[in-house]
Amino acid sequence: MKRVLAVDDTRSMLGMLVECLEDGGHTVFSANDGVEALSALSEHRPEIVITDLNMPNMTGLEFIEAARQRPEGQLVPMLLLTTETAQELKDEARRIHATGWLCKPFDPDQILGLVDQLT
Amino acid sequence: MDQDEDYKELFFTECDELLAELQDHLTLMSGGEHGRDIVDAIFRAVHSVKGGAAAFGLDALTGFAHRFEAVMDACRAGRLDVDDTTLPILFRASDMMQELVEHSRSDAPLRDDILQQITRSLDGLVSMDSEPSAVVAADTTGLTQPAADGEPIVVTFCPEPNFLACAHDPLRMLRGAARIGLTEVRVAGDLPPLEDLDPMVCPWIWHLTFAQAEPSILRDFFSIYDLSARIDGVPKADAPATRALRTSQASDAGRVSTTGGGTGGGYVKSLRVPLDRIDRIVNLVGEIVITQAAVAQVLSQPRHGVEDTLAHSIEALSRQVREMQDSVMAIRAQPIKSAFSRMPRIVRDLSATLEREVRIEVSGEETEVDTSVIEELIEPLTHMIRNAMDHGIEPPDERLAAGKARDGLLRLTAQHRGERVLITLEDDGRGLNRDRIVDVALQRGLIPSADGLTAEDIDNLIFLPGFSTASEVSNVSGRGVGMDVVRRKIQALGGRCLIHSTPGQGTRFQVALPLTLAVLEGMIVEVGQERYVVPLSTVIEAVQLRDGNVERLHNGQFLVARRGEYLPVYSLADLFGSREQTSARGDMAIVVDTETDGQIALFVDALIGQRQVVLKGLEENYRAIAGVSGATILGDGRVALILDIPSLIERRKLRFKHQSKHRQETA
Repeated sequence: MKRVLAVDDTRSMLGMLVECLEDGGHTVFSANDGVEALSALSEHRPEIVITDLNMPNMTGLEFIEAARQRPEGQLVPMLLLTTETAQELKDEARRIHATGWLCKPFDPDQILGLVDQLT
Repeated sequence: MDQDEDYKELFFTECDELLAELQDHLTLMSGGEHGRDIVDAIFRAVHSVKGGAAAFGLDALTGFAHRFEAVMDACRAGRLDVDDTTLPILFRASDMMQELVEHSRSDAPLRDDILQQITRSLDGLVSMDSEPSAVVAADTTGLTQPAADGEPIVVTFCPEPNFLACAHDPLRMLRGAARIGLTEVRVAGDLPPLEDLDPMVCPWIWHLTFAQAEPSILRDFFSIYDLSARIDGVPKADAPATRALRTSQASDAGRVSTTGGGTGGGYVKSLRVPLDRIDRIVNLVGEIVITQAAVAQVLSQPRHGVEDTLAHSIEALSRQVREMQDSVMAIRAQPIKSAFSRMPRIVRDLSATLEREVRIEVSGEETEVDTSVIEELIEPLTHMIRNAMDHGIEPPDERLAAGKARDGLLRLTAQHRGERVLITLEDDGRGLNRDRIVDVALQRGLIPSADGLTAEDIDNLIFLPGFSTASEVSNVSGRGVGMDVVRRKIQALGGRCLIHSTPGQGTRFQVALPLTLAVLEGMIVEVGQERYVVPLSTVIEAVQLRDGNVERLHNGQFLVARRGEYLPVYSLADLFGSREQTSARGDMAIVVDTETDGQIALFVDALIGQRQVVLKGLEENYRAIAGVSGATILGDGRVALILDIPSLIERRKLRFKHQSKHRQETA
């Protein structure tokens, strides 16, 4: 059982992701944007983060960049889960030290497999 | 599957919101606003629709949203100008997306020809050629080299310099690979001399041999290292790897699968109106109230020649204006549910972090409150829950030992009480530790002594600024934010906090808030030359002062006897801390309930009457003044300050404390 932080501004997406992770037996924390995610990171110390990219207030990329500056965010795998495919965005993800890039829609088994693989 | 249908329904509701947002921003754009945030907002709305549609296998909607998104992306990147050619296409695309959503939701008719036409227009704006690749294929860059059946597969894994900084762990990667059939590992690369060793760079390259492995499993496994490693040797998929999806349904290219019967009709139509338009009406009604009061005042002065009928009409006008005001306020009202519904989630998340087992029961979610109040409520409410879970509810073992149920219980309720809404958060935890609270308050110099403090007084000390202590800083409710922040926030909303605790049985927080922040039922009083407004909800009665019922203590404090009990009477000058006692004690006093400090009385020279006043913030016109919650314009055009008696009393207490402390120190 792992502590997972799920971040998405779309309630249905977040709901499905949370449910998938909970079905896998994990403890799931959730946040609706990057700003919330940053405080959830400090508060709940998740072992892995799965975040949407396009969100209001603070995007997934901005969140990861900020999280990597903090001691509690340096060693936590942070996956982007998005429908974006643009190479510039991937380059940016690489630059800010995102752990991985996943495509929406997600396959629940793949997500659960990755949580095991990376934590 | 039922769960998924629920999410699908939720997704359609979100689509309504997203499309409305889209429409709003397009409208702004057509008004000449091409700001980055507007383009971003449109992009995000379209993008969210696309993401959801893809997850639910709504292919037609996904495909269309993808093209729309590509156009917005071009606008965002400055490759495409928003002008008279593009705007109409964007508007039409927005309408078409609406039509597609309706079609997916309830099988509403879809105009295929129009869809094709708009799709072509969108494609014409950017050079589009492909189907949405994001939704069908996992990225397989670098995963090349076909493998013959049965042959061992050798994967070369070359971490890039950012591999460790991306929070990857080589050991974990190897262990994971072992689980999917890794049979041999060869390490290449050399450890550099110690002085050149960078702990954040992984110096090795691995050749990983899988004797028998499913290529698709290898692809799944290695694709996540894409951003920070070069990977060669993973067999490429024959066809784009389509991700199986729980909710995807068979649907042919042009048609969209529907959500099953009965979901299309039956939802209440609503109209989205920007809040500022409603605020304009609220303000306007406020002005009318003032004007009407002015007319009423003119009429009330004895003069001849004013017809009775005019007085009647004015009466009718007052009634109508009042009704109109109520109706307008009703538009802004919404169920408190939107704030309450977040709380169970917060409780669940915190339960895990704090290792508490806590249930939350929520009731009264339908209670309606002004929108602005709801938004402002979330933060203090969250903090109250944190506090209750961190300090109130005990860990399971401690609860069992105390003969309580293993699970802690939080009860969150809302109800209307007169012109206020009362929010209550109760826990069944250990209650407040009064000895400790007194110790802390004394230690920090928040109170001069504990003498004469009632249990309730002690409980309320936790709301004092600076009460939160370093020794109780925990992950959750610590961080230097105390309950004083909650109280400050609630007071800023014109509300009051109360706390009631029973040792061993639990704590109850009550927050009383005004239903709206825009109008207020007020008692208008005269003190000296000025008129002031006191919120009617706090006024209990007016007392005529006679020699028989007023007493003066040796320290100058006045007391008034009321039905056998004595209440302190203050003058406004005293409360404002003015040394000049210009206003002699009046002949009357009003009794005010301060909630935190019990009932007190206030000298006034005359009661002018009670009426609804329109609140104008001082901040916008001057600056915030402690003890004054705002101002209003009276019927005669004069400005009257609205008094916040509880905070005036509190300020007086603080001053008093400083003085006595000062006296102690100088003695």
